[in-house]
Amino acid sequence: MTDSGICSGIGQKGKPMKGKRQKDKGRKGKRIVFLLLLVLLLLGTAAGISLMRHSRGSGNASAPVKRPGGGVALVIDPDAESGLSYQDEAVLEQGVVIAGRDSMTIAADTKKVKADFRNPEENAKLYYLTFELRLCGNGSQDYEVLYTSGLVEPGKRIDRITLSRELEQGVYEAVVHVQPYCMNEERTPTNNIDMRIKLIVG
Amino acid sequence: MKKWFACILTVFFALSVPSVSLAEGETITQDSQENSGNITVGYNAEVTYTVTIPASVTFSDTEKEIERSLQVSDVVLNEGSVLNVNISSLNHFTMVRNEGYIDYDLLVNYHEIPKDDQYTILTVAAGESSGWAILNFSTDLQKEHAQYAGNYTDTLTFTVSID
Repeated sequence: MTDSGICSGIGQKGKPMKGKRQKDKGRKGKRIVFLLLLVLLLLGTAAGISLMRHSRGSGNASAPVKRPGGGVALVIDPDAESGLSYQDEAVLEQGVVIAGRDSMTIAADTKKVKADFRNPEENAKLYYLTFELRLCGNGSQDYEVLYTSGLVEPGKRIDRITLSRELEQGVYEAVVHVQPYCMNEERTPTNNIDMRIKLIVG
Repeated sequence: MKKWFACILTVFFALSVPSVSLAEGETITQDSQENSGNITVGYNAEVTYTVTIPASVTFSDTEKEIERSLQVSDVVLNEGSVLNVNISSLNHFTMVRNEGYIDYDLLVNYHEIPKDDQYTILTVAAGESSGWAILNFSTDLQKEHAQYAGNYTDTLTFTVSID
């Protein structure tokens, strides 16, 4: 069907042409309403996405704040925080915080025992910790590894562990070796600590 | 109805007879011959401490002397015991990379320490709640032994023992 065909048909008949115009007007109106709804929908979607982006991370801290006198106040970029942490001299001077004790009491003749290996909250955003329970041998460098943990996040702890073997009742010399790792992509190991303890098996 | 009410009142009065529960198995009532008792209030303070070690030290051409500290806080020890912190180096206080190396020095509380063995850098006696040591790292960055570019590193181990 061509445009000329439609025009010629309308021109030949009087009343039907008026009806067609009304119909066209009605269609146009519907199209306008449809387009308006579409625009409103798109605007709503865009506003929703924008709000979601601003509400992520540190809440509205990253959103630019308009000053009363005009202009935009500078705010902390949340993405820059973690990237700078490990290179900032002031942060490095804080060091790694580790909680220690002189003994650990576990049950005899079982591999599954209670423990208390924790990464203090002071290490938040800076260091993971791993824990290794070593049973001391005869020589100063001689030891047997009873347990090795994965990375423990700051503020979290391990309270149940599975030993590599069961121990008989008694008091043993042991070391809790704590290895911190920077919370960067490379997870760089830092200086570490050995805590000598009495392992009380009873 | 009256019977039910009487039963409820009986139970209520029976439960409200003055009595004091003390230690396990010891109950004083108005009929007891002795009207006093003992309870034990206690807390077992475990041996604990918090140690903060320097995580890392990075020298550069512009920064050849770096100061760090080792701190021990919240110390609770048994009477008469002592907390010791020793330091040892994986590479005898030398930063290494493959076959290459760069020497560095460490002063503890502004005193030189032997490089070949463990060395006690801090002692905290029972009754003291904290202690610290100042660690001064320095190097002259003599690079004649650094064959190739790259990171030259050493790892320090701090050993805590309670004697």
